[in-house]
Amino acid sequence: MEQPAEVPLAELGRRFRPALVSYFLRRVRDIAEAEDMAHEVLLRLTDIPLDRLRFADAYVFQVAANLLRDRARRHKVRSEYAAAVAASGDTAPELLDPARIDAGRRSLQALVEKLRELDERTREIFVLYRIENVPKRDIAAAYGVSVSTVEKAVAKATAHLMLLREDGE
Amino acid sequence: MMAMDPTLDEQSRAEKAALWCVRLSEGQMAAADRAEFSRWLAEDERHPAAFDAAVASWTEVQAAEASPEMLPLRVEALESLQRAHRTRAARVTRLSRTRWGLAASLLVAAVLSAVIGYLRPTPFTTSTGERRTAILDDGSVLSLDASSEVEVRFTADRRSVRLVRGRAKFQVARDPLRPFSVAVANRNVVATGTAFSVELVQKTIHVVLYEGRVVVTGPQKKGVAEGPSSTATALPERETLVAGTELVAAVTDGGARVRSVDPVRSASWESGQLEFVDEPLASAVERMNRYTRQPMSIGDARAGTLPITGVFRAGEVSAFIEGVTAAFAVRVEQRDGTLTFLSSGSSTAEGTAITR
Repeated sequence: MEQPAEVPLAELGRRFRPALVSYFLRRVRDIAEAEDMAHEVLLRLTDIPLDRLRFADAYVFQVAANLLRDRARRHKVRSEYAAAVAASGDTAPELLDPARIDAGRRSLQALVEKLRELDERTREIFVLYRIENVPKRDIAAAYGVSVSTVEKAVAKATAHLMLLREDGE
Repeated sequence: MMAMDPTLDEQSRAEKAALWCVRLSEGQMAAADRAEFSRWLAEDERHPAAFDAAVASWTEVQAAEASPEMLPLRVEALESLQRAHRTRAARVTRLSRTRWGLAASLLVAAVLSAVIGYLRPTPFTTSTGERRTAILDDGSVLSLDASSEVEVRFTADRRSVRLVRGRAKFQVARDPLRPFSVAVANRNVVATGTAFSVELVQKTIHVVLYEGRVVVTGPQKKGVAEGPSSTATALPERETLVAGTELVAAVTDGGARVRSVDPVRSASWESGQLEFVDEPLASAVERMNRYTRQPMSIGDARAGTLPITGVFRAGEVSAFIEGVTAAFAVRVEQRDGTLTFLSSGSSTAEGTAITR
């Protein structure tokens, strides 16, 4: 390989956007702002080489936390921020928490087994979209289905994986 | 199915939550979508929890991404995509096929390296003068001579060992369903429950069988570029050894011979003694060198072939030199930091060196 390629924003988004939006949503209580902040975090991540980013979940979380603190200072709304954090409580686990990701690693085998339970096409679409970062339009075109079908297949597979959390925890 | 079925309800809630993950992962949502997302989150107290769970599952996949368990699924998906591309090539020419084709082949390589990683052998090595005994996972006992190295690779259906250099003796635990084999240079020694040693010295393979039975399979007969005349006659496809015999085979020409040995004496290295019977000096020197930081070497071809018979204590180089130079017309000189055996021009001596 030559130079480490920059990670395209789209791929970063595929990986981290839902978790970042969820993270900010619990703190800013406004979807538009949460999305903006998620976008800002992603922009800051684009100059990290891909091979390092694969293991950078904790770093992503750090960037997000810093951004939140900066913004709170800038807007002089510290109390509001604190209130938001307090309101969110600690009931919901921190989704980008490294310890949590590690726990996820341990149940890797279960996750793969769960994916195996899905029908072949659903599993393939999910893997292509979620892991290989193939654009949904390309997947749809290759299999001759609609983009909405691709989205639904990805959602179905994700929902199936959610069963793991109920079984396991 | 009833609409009120709680699991069905939960399933559709989970899928809806997951669908929001998909939307969010695509980038900034349109204003209408944002409004709908807000509405959905607010309309049911279970929805935010479902969304969190969906995000957690979404993120969890990230951790699995590069794991060996996940790789077969990735290869399957990419190959499926390639197949789909091929069948629909005419319609989707705008897609960059090579890009995903490359991704697929890179992944196949990744899978291979992951599998190889799983099968990575366990190395056992000894340094100069060090002997080592180890009990392997199956209960077999490995006894390693000095300056030796083996790689042990056990799987569900076979026990494979490779002798990289030096000498190793195996007391093999009986397990007929998992054959025990030792690869050495171009040969393979296969056993079921037995004791034998395998050695590589002077590009010659020595297999000594102490008890039981082993089969030594010869090298693959691929191309006979060197020594075309010798291969047909000299090389048996496989040689079955009985206890108390030794197979000696040159790595280069493929010829093998079997001779009887004294099992007790030929295993004396395990107790720190090296016993030679008509052993070429070059082989004897290499074996002695396993135990010394002051290595010896052979200065000329004739010196290397002198037949050494005797018992020497491992590591006692001076006694070895004394014995050899007393029995043969050979002298030792210090050359490039090694003690070098040189034959005297007029040497015709045949003799025996015995030292304790």
